[in-house]
Amino acid sequence: MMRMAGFVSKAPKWSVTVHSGYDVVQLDGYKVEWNDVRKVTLVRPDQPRVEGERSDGTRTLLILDGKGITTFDESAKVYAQASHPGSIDDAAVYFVGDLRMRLPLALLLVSRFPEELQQRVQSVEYVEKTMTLGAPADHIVGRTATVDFQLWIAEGDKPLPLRAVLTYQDARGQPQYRAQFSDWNFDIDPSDSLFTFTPPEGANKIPFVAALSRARSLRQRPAATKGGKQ
Amino acid sequence: MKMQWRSLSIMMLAILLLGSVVYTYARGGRGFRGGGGFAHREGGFSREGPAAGGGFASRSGLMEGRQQFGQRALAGRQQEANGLLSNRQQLARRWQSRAEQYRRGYPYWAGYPGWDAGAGLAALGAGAAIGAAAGSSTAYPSASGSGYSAAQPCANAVVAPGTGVTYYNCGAAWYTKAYGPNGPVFVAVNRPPGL
Repeated sequence: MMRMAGFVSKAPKWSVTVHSGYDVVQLDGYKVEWNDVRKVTLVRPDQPRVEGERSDGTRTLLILDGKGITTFDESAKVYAQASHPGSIDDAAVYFVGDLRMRLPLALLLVSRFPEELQQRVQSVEYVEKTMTLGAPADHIVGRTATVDFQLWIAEGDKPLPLRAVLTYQDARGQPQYRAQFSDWNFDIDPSDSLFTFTPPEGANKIPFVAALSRARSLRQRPAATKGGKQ
Repeated sequence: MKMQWRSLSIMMLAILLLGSVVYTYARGGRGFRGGGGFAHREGGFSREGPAAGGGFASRSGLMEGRQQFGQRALAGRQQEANGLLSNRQQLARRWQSRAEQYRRGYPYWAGYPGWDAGAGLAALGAGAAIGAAAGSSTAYPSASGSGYSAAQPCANAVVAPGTGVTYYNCGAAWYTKAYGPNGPVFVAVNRPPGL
């Protein structure tokens, strides 16, 4: 697992296609699986691009370019942008941790992937060697404080993740996130334009929901501190 | 005579079952149409949940775990469950504390464990503290508003002079479109300045 994390995090550029699905347990108990396909292209230190297509046909785009973050919903013709200079690590933490946006398996993008795993993983066990994913792979199972995970990692000199299953044990209905990786490519030469967003005609810029929340908290702060210690 | 009673009973049972299905469907329940169609849920199904973020950490799992550990654990495992509960509460507090501290540090990610525990709109509604983001100066989510809606709340669109931001005035409520974890949603906001 650590070989895999080191290999992915040190590779200067790569692309991969991810077929993924996740469960959402509805209020009445139905468990619904949502699916999407994402093409991830990454050039270190600061340029990931994620093109997605959801199961309902909605096409999305996420670009981090070292200066800011752009996310675009092609179907709704709206996009949101946030300024956030820095590396992929910085931008991913900001996008997921603060803006609370979706970037599944964001750990795979960051250069601190091995350190992040080391900090979080409490136990790992080897399950078996399998040939069912098109290449010899090691199937392992592990646990963090809140998530049980399974990984299938290719054997050989390129220990790439081929499949991942995350189980949220403490959440109602124990929903899972599942991802299947294909078309790993480390010999790519993407142009800068791939990481540049030009709004299509008719597209409207809207704020992130988190930006509205922040505006509210800033607005409420003076009232909250009134009468308090100066 | 015996055969007639059996046939009558089967017919009555069939009528009862059919009636039950029709009644359930008419009430918006899980019944199905005789024509082979499926009932469409008003408002659709939720795409939000702990697994949506695909993270190696789960913040909402921590919250739910507090209640569920107690209920799930067998009597003999009560002590163990309490221990886990306590650990998870401590972990949650530690995360919150570190998340508050990390913003003062550099690099940005330092000391922010569990940052990929995507919590979606529910956490945003709770007032997540975040850094600078574009487009935040024109409206504020209403503290007493009805939260978020995937569908346009009403047809009465109003463009704010100066900013060009579109708002939807639905009775006494105001909404604007914003980008959430699963795409654009309509967010309840306070009455925008100038409108």
